[in-house]
Amino acid sequence: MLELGATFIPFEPDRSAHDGNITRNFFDCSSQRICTMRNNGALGLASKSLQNDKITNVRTKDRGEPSTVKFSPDGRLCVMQRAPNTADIIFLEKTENSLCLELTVSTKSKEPLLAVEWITNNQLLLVNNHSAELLFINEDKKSSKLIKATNVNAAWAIYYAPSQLLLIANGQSCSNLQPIIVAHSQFTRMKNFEVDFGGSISKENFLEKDAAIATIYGKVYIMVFRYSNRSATMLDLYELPFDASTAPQFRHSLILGFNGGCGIHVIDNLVIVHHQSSQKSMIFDIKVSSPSKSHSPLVTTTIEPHPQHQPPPSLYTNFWFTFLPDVVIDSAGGVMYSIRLKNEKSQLEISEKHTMLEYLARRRHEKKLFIVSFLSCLRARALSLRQIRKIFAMLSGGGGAKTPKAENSAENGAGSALKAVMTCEKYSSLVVTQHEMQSAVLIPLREDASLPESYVANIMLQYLRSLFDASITPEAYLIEMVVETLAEAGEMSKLQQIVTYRVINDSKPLAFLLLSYEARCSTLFQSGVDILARNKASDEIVEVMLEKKQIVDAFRFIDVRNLNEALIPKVVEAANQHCSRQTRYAIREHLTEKKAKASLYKSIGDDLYTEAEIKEAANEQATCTLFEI
Amino acid sequence: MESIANPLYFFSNLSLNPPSCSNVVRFIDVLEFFFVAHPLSGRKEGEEHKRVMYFHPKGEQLERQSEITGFAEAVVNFTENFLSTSHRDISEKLTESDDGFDFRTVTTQRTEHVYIRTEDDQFMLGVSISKQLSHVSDYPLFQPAIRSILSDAYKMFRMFFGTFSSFINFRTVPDDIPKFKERLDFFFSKYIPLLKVHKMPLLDHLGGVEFLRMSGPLYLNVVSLITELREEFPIIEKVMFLYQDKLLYYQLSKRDLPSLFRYLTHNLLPTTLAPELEHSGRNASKGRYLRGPTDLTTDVPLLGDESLSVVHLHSEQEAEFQDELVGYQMMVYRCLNATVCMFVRNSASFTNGDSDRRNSGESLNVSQSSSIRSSPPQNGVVSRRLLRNVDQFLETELAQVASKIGDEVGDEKLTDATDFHYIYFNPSSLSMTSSLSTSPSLSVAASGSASTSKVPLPPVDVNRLVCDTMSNFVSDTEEFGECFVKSSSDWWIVIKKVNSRLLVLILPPSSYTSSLADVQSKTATIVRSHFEAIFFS
Repeated sequence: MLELGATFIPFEPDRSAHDGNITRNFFDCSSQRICTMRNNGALGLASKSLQNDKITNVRTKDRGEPSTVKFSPDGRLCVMQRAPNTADIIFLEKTENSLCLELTVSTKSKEPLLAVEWITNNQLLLVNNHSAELLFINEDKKSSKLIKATNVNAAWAIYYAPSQLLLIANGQSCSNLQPIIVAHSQFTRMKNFEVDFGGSISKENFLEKDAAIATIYGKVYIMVFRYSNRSATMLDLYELPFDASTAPQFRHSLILGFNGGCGIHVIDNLVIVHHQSSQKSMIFDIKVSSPSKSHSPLVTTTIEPHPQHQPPPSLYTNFWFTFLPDVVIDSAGGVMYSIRLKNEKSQLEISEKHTMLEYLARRRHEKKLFIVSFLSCLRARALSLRQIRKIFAMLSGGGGAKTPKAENSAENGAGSALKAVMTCEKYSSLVVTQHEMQSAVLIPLREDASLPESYVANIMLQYLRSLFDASITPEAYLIEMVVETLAEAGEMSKLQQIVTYRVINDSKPLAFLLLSYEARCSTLFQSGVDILARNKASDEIVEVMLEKKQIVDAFRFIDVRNLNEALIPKVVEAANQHCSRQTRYAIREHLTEKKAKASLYKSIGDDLYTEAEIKEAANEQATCTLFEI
Repeated sequence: MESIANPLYFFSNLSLNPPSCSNVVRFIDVLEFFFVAHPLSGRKEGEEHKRVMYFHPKGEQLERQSEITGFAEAVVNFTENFLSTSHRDISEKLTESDDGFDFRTVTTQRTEHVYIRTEDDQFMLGVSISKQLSHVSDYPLFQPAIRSILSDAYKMFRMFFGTFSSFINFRTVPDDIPKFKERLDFFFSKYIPLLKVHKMPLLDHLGGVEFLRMSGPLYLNVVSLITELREEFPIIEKVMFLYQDKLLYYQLSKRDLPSLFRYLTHNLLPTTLAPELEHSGRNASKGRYLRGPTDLTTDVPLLGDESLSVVHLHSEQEAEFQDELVGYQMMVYRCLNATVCMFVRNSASFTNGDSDRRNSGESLNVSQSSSIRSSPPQNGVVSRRLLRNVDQFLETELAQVASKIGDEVGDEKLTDATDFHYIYFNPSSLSMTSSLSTSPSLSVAASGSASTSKVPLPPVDVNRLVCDTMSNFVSDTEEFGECFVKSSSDWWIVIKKVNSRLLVLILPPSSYTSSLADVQSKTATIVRSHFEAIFFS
């Protein structure tokens, strides 16, 4: 499920040649660039990155071997640390053939530097044992100026560029961590906290290499290796709040279950731990629900090289260096690779379908794959209705009914009540619109003749529920489809109860649909008329009543509602066809009484008696004898 | 005999005298006699009394018993000669529409008799109401209502013990009749004294069930919960979902619905209320089974007191005309006022409907014994394991749904005070609501003041007038109709029938209702404000 080297870039590997030429490589985590330095810059300094093809190539003075090389975000400046307590800023401008200009900076106290980091294009952060100082570098004047300084007590420090977060370790055994946000030319201290790294006599201090920072699902986590003699190694995740007043909290614990060298990547919100000796990589997804805070690996897999590398590079070697988020550097081969997820293999790797679908739904840019997998799982009936409901809820509401609200309020609350000081990349969950869901999932399911209609209808109802839960108005077409599918499934009783409780929104087309089912379930006729009545569709109701030959009641209805007289001729016509003579007479009298226009009812009396009848009556009258008492 | 699994265990404690202002009357207060007879058993000269299977009052002399039943049989047989064609049609029609029975009524100076015949006319049930007693109790005699009460009694018996003919068949085992008598005695001597009838007999006659009003989206939660349950446990064939004492969702034959609903709301649920009130506070959202074993952690077979009760229901929803009765074990699970009844086909029971009574002689013994709770080991398929799994499945979800319903219902509670009385009945959904109905004890304790009407109960003559109007001016077969009646005491009665639905409004005397036009406009207002979702032109 992991692939090495879809993007890669070669570089000159480290070497110390006999001719005295030395090549050294540095990886700049903040700018994600690999820097190749030959003869300490005298023969050239080249920097490359996987993200773009731009290669910086300059020459600097050879003033000793640097220990770090870092580029400013815009790539115009570079800082090198050649001596323990000073840093040299190199101006990379206009240096085609000549050597670069340099500027040496240091902290006030001239103590050895623990960290040198670019905060912005022209702000440099220097950290030593006692203080953190922010310098402004004036590129034009080639000068530096102290902007801000703060006292810290640091054993070591790491910097996380995406959130401008400086993490300082101090205290006994260095396990007290102090996060500081360096933004807007300010230092903002957040609550410090203690981590448990499984300290023991053999391992007294918490080390820089055992900590890492990453953004997972829109939250910044500090990841800490916890070693233990008895149980397996754990990777603990501490969540940093966005505001300065709440303390970071222990959230998750990833069970690694091995000892020995390993590397961490965080790709697409997944934590991936590569273990060297077993040549395995474990993928953790902290959103996979777990009864406790501990997580087992979702998938354990082996990295596969991309086919473009021939012969395939050897994997999990001693020469591998891994950097967050997804960089692998093969220092022997001189290639920088990226690692990516091959989610299309998740169907094979994750056996539990529900977990697999949730996994896919959380991945970036995998909507198509997700929908295809979802449909195939539904077709195979591999999911229970409850699982289907949960997946729908995830798609419609962006998570369960309650959890996203709670999260949002926590985040928004941080924005309003407590000032957020830290920023990070937001995580947006997959949203599948109604239209997509219908065309890509529901309609194909309905057309699949091998599936029982009741199953499809139940799926649709679950989807409808997820829409309601997310307060989304379902589209009329979806409702119609639900009704039709229920009817096809023969679930008339269910359909009737659903209609009666007005689960589905009223609309005239729906009403007529229900009316058309009257033959199969007489109660639906009632419901259909109700919907018409709620829609004030009086004309249609009159039509329906005439259809059912309820002529007198149609008249009554027209009277009660004071309806348009234009309907009366229609009723009169129906009366002429279906009503007995007495009724017709009554209707005629009624209309006369109501002073309706003569043209409206004239026709009703015309054929009250046929000519033959009149003749016969006249005849009878002529021949009858009058008895008098 | 009175084990916990016995359905009648719960026919208890409700026999208190209703207060005089109440809208119900104890049936026993107006009853003269009630009997179940099997005419075939008393064919021999001198053994006429053998046809009497059950007789109330019990103290009646055998001679009189056989006299009464003989008279009833004679009436039935005699009238048969005259009415054979036309009456058959009616009775058939009734059977089709609402499981009705062939019936005869006899009115004497002192009494009103109703006889019904069941199960291929083999059995006869009869009841006689004393006119004098009913006058004393302010109970208007309405013959169709008495008929309904009688057939309801039969249906209730049938639900718990199966058909009469399952006890008596042609290859008669000699022991069957005493057993049958024992069952009848056991059932009816509890049922009849506890039976209450409405002073508005129309309510008993219509015999609907009360649905809870609820918003659509929330209702969908209920539907999907039940659907998930059915999917997870395909063994559950029928389901009913109630909230408080009102029905929300059902998946069973409409013919069983009224009896079952009545049993649940009048008998089973009220008895659970007291323990619930006691234990409120701790673990309130934890669901539990109302019947059956209390300890679910073991796998001991369900025997004796712990076995679940069996009810006999119509097997297929589709084939409405078949009289197949199948035994189902009933699981009742309750959580936060929401009750889920689940029915699992009882493997020990066999179809014992009319159609195959002739060839199921031996097997019937099994079904009987399972309903007597002598508990053969193969009694049913519901195990503790199943109960446990269902419990796990429902636990959290049901609590969530129930609390959502609770929130919504709680909001609406106060809006319902009316200045009139009404009865609404929809024969196609069996939905009935009325300001005059009561569901004992539940309504008071659980749903607050149920009778939301501010007006006094209508006097007996108004009730009688309503019944008379119904039978004389409103046609059973017409789907539409309208009728306005003014009583001598200035009450107005409005009966509307629209699209088969029935709405009876009983308006107390007031200055706003002096003329027919006033009443018409008042009716329109009521329809608009209280039944706006329904088409009542």
